[in-house]
Amino acid sequence: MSGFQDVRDVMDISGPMENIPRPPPAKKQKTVEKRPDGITRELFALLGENPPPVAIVENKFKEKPKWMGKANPWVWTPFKNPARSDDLTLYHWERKTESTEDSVYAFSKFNVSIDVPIPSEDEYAALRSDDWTREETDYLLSICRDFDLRWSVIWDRYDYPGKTRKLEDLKARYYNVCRSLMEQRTPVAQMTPEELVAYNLTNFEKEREGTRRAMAEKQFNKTEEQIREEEMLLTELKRIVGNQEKMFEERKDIFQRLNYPQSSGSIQQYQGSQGIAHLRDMLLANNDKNKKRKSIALGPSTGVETAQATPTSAVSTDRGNAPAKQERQEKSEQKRQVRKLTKEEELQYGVSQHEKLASGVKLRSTMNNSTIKGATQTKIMGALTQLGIPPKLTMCTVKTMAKMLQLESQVAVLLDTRKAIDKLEQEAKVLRAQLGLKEKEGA
Amino acid sequence: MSGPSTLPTSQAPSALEYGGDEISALVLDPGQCWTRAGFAGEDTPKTVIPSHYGYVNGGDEGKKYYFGDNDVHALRPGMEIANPMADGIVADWDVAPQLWKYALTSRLTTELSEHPLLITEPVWNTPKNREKTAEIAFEDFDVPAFYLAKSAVCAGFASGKPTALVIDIGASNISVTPIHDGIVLKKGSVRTPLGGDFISNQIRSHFAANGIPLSAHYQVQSKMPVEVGKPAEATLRQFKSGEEPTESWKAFQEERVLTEFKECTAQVWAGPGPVPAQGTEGIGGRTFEFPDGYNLVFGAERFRITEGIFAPRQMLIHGEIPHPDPETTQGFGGMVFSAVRDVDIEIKPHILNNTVVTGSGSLLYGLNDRINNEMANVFPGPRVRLTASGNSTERSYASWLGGSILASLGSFHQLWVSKKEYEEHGPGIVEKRCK
Repeated sequence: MSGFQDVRDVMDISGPMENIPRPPPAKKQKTVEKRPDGITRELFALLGENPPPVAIVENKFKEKPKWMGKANPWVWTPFKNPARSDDLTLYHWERKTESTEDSVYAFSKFNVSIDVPIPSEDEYAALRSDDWTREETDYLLSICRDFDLRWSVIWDRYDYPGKTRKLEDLKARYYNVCRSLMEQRTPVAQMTPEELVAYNLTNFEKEREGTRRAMAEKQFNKTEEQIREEEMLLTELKRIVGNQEKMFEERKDIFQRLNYPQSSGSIQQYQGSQGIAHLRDMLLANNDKNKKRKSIALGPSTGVETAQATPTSAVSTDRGNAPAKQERQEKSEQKRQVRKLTKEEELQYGVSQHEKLASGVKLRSTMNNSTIKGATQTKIMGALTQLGIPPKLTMCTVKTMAKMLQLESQVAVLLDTRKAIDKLEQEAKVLRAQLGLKEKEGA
Repeated sequence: MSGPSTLPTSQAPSALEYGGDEISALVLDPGQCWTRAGFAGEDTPKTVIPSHYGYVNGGDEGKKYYFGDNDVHALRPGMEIANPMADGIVADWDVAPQLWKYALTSRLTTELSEHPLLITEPVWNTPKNREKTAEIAFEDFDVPAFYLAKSAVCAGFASGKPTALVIDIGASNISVTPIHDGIVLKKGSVRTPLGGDFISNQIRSHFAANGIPLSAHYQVQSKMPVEVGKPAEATLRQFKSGEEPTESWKAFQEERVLTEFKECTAQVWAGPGPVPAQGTEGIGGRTFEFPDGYNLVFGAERFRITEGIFAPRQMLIHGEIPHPDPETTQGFGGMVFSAVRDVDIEIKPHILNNTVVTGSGSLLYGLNDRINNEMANVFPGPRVRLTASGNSTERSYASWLGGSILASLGSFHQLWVSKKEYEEHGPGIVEKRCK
């Protein structure tokens, strides 16, 4: 076991080894040899020098906990609740602490109540109503205070002699009173933002609340048939929407596949028997991909058919205009797929169309597109060298090639013109010489 | 209540997390059949005694009263059995305070003046009764503080639900009470006298109509096993003249046998379809052995005796045995319907989703399934979810347990009616404070 030295090496600790105490190996051996309970001596001897890792469970009692210091006693303490108006003293057990005198009862903070306004005699003048007497209004406000504006309870306990009120009536009156009192105490223009929020909250629409409650009641009182019908309609709707989505998905897929890029190349090369064989080879090479796509195409397309073949009552109303819609969509789809490129775009993307292309790859510089052949060619070359332009372009792009061609043709035209001029001048010279001879004879 | 407790007993829970503050209050839950008392904050009442009491008319000293299980069931010549409660509320104000005092002082404490007292009451308790209760508490028991809580609210609290529809199947009544935020909604509170006592009478009617002899344990000295349906071979006890038990005591002892019958044999037809008319086909039979050894197999009959709860018109009627009017009594479904009908629409779905089934009567075998079916029939739209404690002790003592929880809450201590307040305002204060 050289673990100890290894650790020293890893930690890069060097120094005299003598000072470091080494655990005596003999002792360690002894502890390993210790026979655990439950194994006989003979059996343990069979295990040899490397006993298997046997979990030794020693049955020992839990250690006695060490208490820190003295136990803090609990005292039967009187307390008063500030939430109460009387001086009721109750007792409870409390941990003995130094300052119990000035502590406030912890639960008194839960004593919260709602502020319900009380209209004064003057303020009530604005609240006068034929339906509500002053006494009934006061009763309403007091019951609202008693039940902390729990409207369900207020309505349940509302018991004013000779009146049966709906919940929305009670609410309307209460909020009306609150609103009016707020207005009277602080004019709307002078309200702080918080007050204004509270003020706006008191804007209670009785009619709307009534309708809402009636609707809730209707919803609650649905009969079993109505529920079943509703459930059925919901599942039907879910199914229809699901089908439609699936159909759109498949249709999109089909359109994508129908829209192959339109080939503008000629089919001349495939016309011979050899060409056809070549075409077949090419198709076969692409077959793997096609196969996969075909299988996808076959699956969902049958799904579409079944989906369309099971019309439902709800969908039947929509069926009349369904095909028309479909067509329209198809057209737009196609239009999108074969967009015509503008000239600029063609230039930008380097798209060019050719009448005929020879197979194979060629360098543009080796392509000889000029129509001028023979002696003129050499003459043109001569003219170009005269101008300092190399006969072969160093950078052949479509544009430079086009310019080159243009230049060549122009040079050719100029050369033609010069030739014509030379010819005419020659003729003119000859004629002039003849004229001079005739004048001499005539003179 | 046997939930795992992670806190060691030596450590106090965080006060605000737990919300409890035990002030050693007493909780008393007087019911028609049993009176329960114990300390607030505990999970079961320490004292559960029958509400029935025994009395012997003794010349000059007046009546001598006997309370508690042992004394009530002891065979005493001339001892009559009576119940101070009627229809779930106190009817005899001479005896009820004594019964309560016995329940509170026999085991719990000797000094009532040191403990605040919370008493539960049914929703239909009369204002006069409530004032009388406060009077007893402050003047007879001399408690420092008192509160009167609605038993339905307490039962809701026992299930941890402040907003609920509480269906309490007690001895005298089945009551359906909507509660919202711990406040009873009075308009929706309904009850029908089809509780445990009604079932007992149905069993009596069935026995009487079919000539099944009902014996009680006290009558039998020794008995021999007999075949099903064969007459009993038992030696009955002979009483010397003048030492015979009274009729009321005999009826009380028979009632114990009927309770046993309700517990082991009676069953509620959970559906589907109507209750089978006769026989044991498809439903099996259950044997019940009477104290004298006479035994019978009960087939469809065991469903018929409970069917009256749901269809009062089908209740069994025989001779003189008392029964509610089958025509005017509301069955279970109708009762739940009318209870929910008279509740604000906003909370209707909420209370139905928190339906609490409680009371010893709800331990009838198969009752919960049937209630579930009935509720689904009455309310097909909203979701109805029943909460019924699986623990039968908790189900029987739910209102006591809720009272125990309530009276041990720190935030509740501001609601007690103190002695000082009582002295200032008189007994009328309970009407104002305990709503």
